[in-house]
Amino acid sequence: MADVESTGHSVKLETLDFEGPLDLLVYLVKKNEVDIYDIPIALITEQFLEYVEAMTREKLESAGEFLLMAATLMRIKAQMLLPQPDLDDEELEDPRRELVLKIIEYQQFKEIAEHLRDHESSRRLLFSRGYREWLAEDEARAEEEPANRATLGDLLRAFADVMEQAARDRVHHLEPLAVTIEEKVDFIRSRLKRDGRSSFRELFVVGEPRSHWIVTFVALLEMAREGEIRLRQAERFGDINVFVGEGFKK
Amino acid sequence: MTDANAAPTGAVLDTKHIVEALLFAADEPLTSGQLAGLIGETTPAMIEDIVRDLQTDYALQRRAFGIKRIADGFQIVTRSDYAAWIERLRAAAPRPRLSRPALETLAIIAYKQPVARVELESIRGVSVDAVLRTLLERGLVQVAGRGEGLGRPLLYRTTGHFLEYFGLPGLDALPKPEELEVLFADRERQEELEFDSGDAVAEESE
Repeated sequence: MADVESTGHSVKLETLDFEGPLDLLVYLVKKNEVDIYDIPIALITEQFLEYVEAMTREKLESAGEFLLMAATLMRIKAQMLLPQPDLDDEELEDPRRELVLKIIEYQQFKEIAEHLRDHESSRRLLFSRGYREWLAEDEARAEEEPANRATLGDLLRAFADVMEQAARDRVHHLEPLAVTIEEKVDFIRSRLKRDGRSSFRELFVVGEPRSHWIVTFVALLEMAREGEIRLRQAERFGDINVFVGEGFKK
Repeated sequence: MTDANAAPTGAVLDTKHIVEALLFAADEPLTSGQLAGLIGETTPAMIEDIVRDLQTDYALQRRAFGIKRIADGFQIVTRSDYAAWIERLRAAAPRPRLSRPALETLAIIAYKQPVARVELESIRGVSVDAVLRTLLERGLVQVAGRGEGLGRPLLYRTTGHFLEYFGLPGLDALPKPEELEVLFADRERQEELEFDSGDAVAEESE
């Protein structure tokens, strides 16, 4: 999942991943450095629609919520254009009010979520008696759900992320394919034998040429087909984790 | 207050050391009430004092562990500086972190509990079906009964495991609304807008 805050302004909007329409609005308000209490609704609506248009081409499944917000934005924009019957009337409600309150409230919970993330991080560094059992229980709960099975689409998305990272991070090497699928299968097996599990990302060794990563990916697909590994994803678009499967060969 | 004669191994059988022994052996946080009950003839308040005393001892002695208040209780945990070595002992990849949608949803539940799904969805602006299922199955939230509204919707609240997972002593350890950095400046304007949708995070006190 793209981290909006750290991605910076230079990145094209459509490459970012948002949790929902409000997440996108928070991003647009910050990016444009506009006053939340006086949102330039035309500008924000335009940028919002730009993103939605780019997005709907790829992931239609979550487009509904974005389209609903787009409709709200356009309604507000239209209301703003209407002549105000009585400009002195203090009671007259700004058509943007409700939306602004929602954005602020959402932003606050986003912040609290970040606090929770900090607590999660520091908690992971503390160990007590019985922590093995505690973690094992927690992991068992996390992976039990069949809904967590990663689909081919999830895998491709995760792999695209990895490759995109590679394209950003490094210069390109041109070299012959120096690694075989068997070697990568062995590598993945050794990792899983040692740890029992691995994150998808960790199997792509930093510093290796991209061609090796492609081989790693093919090896993963093979092993999943053979039932050697199980691929689990706790959340839609979340990180994928690799576990030892029934057909695991030592 | 020491009773050296009664202890053949030279151990000291005062309450402080009994508390220490219990915390050392327990594999989950013990509340001051539990400790007082186990020991007898002491009160939770006395236990709290003793734990503070032990915490000071460990800090002064630069021990590799300390006593942390988690989920309303006390637990001996290693200091974070030693995490890397203990990870080696455990020989496993670090467990997956919660996703951003999961954290956002948990944040809302923590502040608004008991809360219905429809309110979670209204605040996040997206469906929370899958996230809520995950949180339930991971034992981080639980059903807290039914609401009064249309269709008597299920209400959700956070669990004790939620506090343990994040290492929080209690819900009040989360930031107060007024402590939140408001990224959108100009708070006076915010007051003008009579921010009233949700008292837990919306109060203005500055």
